Amino acid sequence: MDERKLDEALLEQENVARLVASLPDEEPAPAWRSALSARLHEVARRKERKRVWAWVVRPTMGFAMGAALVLAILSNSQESLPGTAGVEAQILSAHNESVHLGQFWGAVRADDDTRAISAPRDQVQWEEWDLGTL
Amino acid sequence: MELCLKAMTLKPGQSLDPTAELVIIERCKKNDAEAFGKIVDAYQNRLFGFVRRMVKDPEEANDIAQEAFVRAFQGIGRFDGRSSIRTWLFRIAYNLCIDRRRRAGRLPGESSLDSAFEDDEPIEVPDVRWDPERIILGDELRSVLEAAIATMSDKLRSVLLLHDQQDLAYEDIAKVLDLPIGTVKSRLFLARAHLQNAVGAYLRGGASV
Repeated sequence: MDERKLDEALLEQENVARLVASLPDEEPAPAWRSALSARLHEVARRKERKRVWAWVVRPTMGFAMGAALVLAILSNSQESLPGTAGVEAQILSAHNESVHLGQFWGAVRADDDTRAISAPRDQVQWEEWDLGTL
Repeated sequence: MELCLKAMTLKPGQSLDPTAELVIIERCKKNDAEAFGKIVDAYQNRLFGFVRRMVKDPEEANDIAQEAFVRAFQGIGRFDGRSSIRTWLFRIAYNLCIDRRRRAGRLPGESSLDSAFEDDEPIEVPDVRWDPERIILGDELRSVLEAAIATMSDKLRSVLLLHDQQDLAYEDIAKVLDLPIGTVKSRLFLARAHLQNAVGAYLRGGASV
């Protein structure tokens, strides 16, 4: 059945539509209405609590998130400051260098001392007669 | 505008004044239970009448009608005004009726009714020579009508009640039931034919429905 024929058929059924329209609606009991009002007010209270909770929690959460973000950014920026790690490394390497240098110079000096002490012995000119006296 | 918000109960076919409806909805969106009470006052008889005929058990009908209003109030923030509040309320109520039926496993097999049209099978159109103008809707005939409506499938009953009793337009019924308009019309035709059969049989000799 195409739509035009269907519309015509529906028009022919208007008498039935009138009968159905004349059927009375049932009214709910007053107790039903009171119970519904109580439920609606309960829903309104719950919605209000949620709204208030959201007003408190959302800014707090936002503040906490913001603070955490700032802290994270600050700590990152301190770690990545140019030259900070280099200064420490330079101090350390300067220290190591000085230690090494100290050790080196200490060794050189000790060697020199040894030479200084031993050199005169090396430079002693033994004579034949000295040997004879031994 | 407070004048619009005075307690009101509408007769079938009447709607809230669109301006008043908008004001009430805005107040409802601000969590005003009193304002929503005006919507309840305006539509409770219609919605209750619809649900009462969709669901046989009176207690269940009470419960569904209440639940429909409560859910509407809970979700009023999501109401976008694309349809009227009346259409929206009926949609919620209809879905609740169908959900209850499904949960109870009592949804009658209805696919054959649709397929009758889709498959172009012949439909038995009853004799409509009785003149409804001369029929006084007495208690007996009312009972016949109510019984005939009660024996219909949910699909036919919902369309019949929404169109012929609640005076919703085809477009609104299509929104409530989430159906194409053509399907709404074909279901309405079948539902009325069912009633014609029942009333015709009653008038011809008091055959029971």
